[in-house]
Amino acid sequence: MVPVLAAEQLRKEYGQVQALLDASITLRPGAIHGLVGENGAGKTTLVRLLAGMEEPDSGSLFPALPQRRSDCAVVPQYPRMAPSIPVLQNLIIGSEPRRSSHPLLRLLIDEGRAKRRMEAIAERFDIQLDLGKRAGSLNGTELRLAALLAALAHEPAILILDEPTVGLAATDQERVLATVRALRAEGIAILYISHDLAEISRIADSVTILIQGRSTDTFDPVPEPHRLASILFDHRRQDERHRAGKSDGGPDEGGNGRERRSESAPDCPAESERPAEPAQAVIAFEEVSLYDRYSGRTLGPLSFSLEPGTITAVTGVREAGLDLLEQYLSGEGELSSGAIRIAGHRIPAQLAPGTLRRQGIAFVPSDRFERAAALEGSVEENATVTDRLQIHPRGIRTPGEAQALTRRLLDRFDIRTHRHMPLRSLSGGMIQKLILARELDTNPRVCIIAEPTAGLDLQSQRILLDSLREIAAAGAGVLILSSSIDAVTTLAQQVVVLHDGIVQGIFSADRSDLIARAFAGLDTSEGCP
Amino acid sequence: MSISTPGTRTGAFLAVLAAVLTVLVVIVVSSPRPVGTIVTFLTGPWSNRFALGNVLARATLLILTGTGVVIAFRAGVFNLGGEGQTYLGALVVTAVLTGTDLATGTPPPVAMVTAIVLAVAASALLAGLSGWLRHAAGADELITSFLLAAAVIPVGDYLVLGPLRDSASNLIATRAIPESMRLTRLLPPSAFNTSVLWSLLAVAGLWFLLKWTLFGYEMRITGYNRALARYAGIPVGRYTTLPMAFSGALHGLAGAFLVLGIHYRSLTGFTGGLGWNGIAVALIARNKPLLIVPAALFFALLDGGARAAVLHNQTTWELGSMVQGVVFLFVTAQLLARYSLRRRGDKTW
Repeated sequence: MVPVLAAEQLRKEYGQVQALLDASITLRPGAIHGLVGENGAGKTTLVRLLAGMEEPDSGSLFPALPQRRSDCAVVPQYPRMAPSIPVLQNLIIGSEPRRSSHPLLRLLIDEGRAKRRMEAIAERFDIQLDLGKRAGSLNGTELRLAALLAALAHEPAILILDEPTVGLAATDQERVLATVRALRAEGIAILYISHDLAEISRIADSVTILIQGRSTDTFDPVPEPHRLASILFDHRRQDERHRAGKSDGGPDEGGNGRERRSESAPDCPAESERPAEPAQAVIAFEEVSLYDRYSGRTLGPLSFSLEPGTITAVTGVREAGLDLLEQYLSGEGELSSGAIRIAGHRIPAQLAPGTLRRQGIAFVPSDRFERAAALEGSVEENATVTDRLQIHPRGIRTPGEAQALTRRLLDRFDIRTHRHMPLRSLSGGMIQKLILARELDTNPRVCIIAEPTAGLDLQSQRILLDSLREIAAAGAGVLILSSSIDAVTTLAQQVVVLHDGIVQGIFSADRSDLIARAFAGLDTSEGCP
Repeated sequence: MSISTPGTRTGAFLAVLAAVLTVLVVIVVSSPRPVGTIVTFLTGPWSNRFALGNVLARATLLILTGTGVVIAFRAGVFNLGGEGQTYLGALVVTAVLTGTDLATGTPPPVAMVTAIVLAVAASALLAGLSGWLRHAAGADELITSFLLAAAVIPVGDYLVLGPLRDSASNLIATRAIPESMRLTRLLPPSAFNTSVLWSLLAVAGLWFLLKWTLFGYEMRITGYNRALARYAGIPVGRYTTLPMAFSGALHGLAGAFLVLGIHYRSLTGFTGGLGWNGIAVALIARNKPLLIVPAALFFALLDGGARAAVLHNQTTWELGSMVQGVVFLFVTAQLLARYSLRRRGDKTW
């Protein structure tokens, strides 16, 4: 089969960052080629080069740029549409069919023709979508389908799909997969990117693995998921052995004395941490389930507990359930079953602002800059927002109170600034520390923080993670919700891994290879006695 | 970024610079004796008690409208209907004191206070309605406040031309309010009067509110970030409706004093840009209460200088409006840039 796109030894760097070192890939018509790799391996960069959005620093690409641009269509993971206009109009942006080629009449768009054409394409691939709907009213699945239609409208020879099924309910996932197969039958070359190794095994004809900017050989047919996982996560195990060989480094608070697997059975998981006795745990999740009406996704049942002075993490891609959990904690949505108990006392199924705080739980959401901070306000104004009633007894400010509170918060995490400086003058890490300090001022028993490392540079990340360790050391329980395996294994003692809304297992943090496999949806108990 | 942010120094400086440059250019182009005109422009307002007094009188009212605009901005809402609200305040006072029997029988202070209270209440309601619509229906208060106030103006004009009109006079004006109900002049024969005390009190009140009260604090936080306000449990609706209402009230008060202290009657269109210049004053004051007085004085001086230059027949009558227009252009450019940034990020109401 003559390849329709071939890339050899691509290299791309952005300033100091080496995004791709040596990536090669070949796409053939009528075949689904999978691309797997961890976050930061270079997938997005590779896609941009293949689709002609950017040029590589070195390496060869066939066909040449202009043709590649017209042949290739990309369906991004988070498609963007203009929300206030109908889907149909979004689909034809840039290539609107005109009523005639007459110079003046060219100004009129032939919407009827566009509609017929789009409906024909939709029918061909059994994509059911109401084209008249406003793009802003589409749900997650419909948005993906609309983006797919947009890509197909250009009759591409090559289609690149970036995580097409993540965040969709199971039935919708099947719909998408069926459509992808139909596309293959039409002779389109498909590049299918997914973190879900089982899914890749199912749908792809061949696969390329990208590890830290380098591609492996192409595998045809696609190996079993475990084999894929071995190749993909091998470097993690090597890092673990390397780290285990040293006596320092890594978290050493409780629970890490646990068994290191012998080399003879490398695929066997460590014993899961036994959940602490409920009476000892500061917070316990008991068979917690969440359901999101909007997307049809579920999470759960989720059961684990957190001992005081320890750090537990819940990880997975965001759409694996972290977003649902965060929504609940933010007061949107409610538990559909199960209970969360803090020191034995049950938290309400639906949360109002302030409920968590009153129960002794501090919650720092992932969209902190949007929701938990006023960037234009001063440091003092931000620091005093939760305690404003204490500072203004009877409605009038008590001088000195605000100042004392602010000083206390700044000192807690050694934030060097003046209370009247605007908050945006601080670095991202410092702002997060201030928000954290503010939440912790009530001395909560539990601190829940979502995506602690998001949007921060390495230095700030380190500072924030150190702060979290301090909090745990002071006796609180810390729960981290994060989609970054690295952040999670650096910090936590026990890690709960979610995939597609289901708990894959609870692992000790030193088994990052198992965590990575569970993250990718693989069974981690295969081949063990 | 929210419009409640104190503006940049550069922005304010540019606006002032633009005003001054416009004046210089227009004078140079239109006057037979440019240097002389410029001198008149700069010194005219100070040259005698009458000119200075009028400048101060104008500044007094600009302080009120400026404060009105600032209180709304600091809460993150935009009152664009100031001109109409001022007109409404003036008309209510005129109607109450000339059109009803209140003028006779009741002691003047009582009548005046009643008239003022009604005027303030009317404009507060007008502006507060926009605030409420923003909270209840997500309607952009910039648009609703403008439209509602714009609707007031022709109605007001009708009242002046019709029911309230002084048939004995040649001017298109209402009947005059009784002499006993006029504010004392401080620098006769200029228009400067005792309403200045209330203006200064209003600014001081705003300063106190913002700096020392819980209400002011919660209002500020709502202005910075509504999502944060909600997260912290602040009732966002309160701080959308009330600041707009207060803003309307202050504009209405300016209108009341326009009648009680300066003209003693209403004339069509006599608010003369008080509402619009209030926005410019707020910007140059960078939304800080303590800078409102200097900013208002600056504007009043510009206006007075333009008037002086025109009166001495040395330049075009349009100079005054041109200056106003240019400053306003700079003001709105900076404001709208920040305003549209805010709206894009403001997903929830």
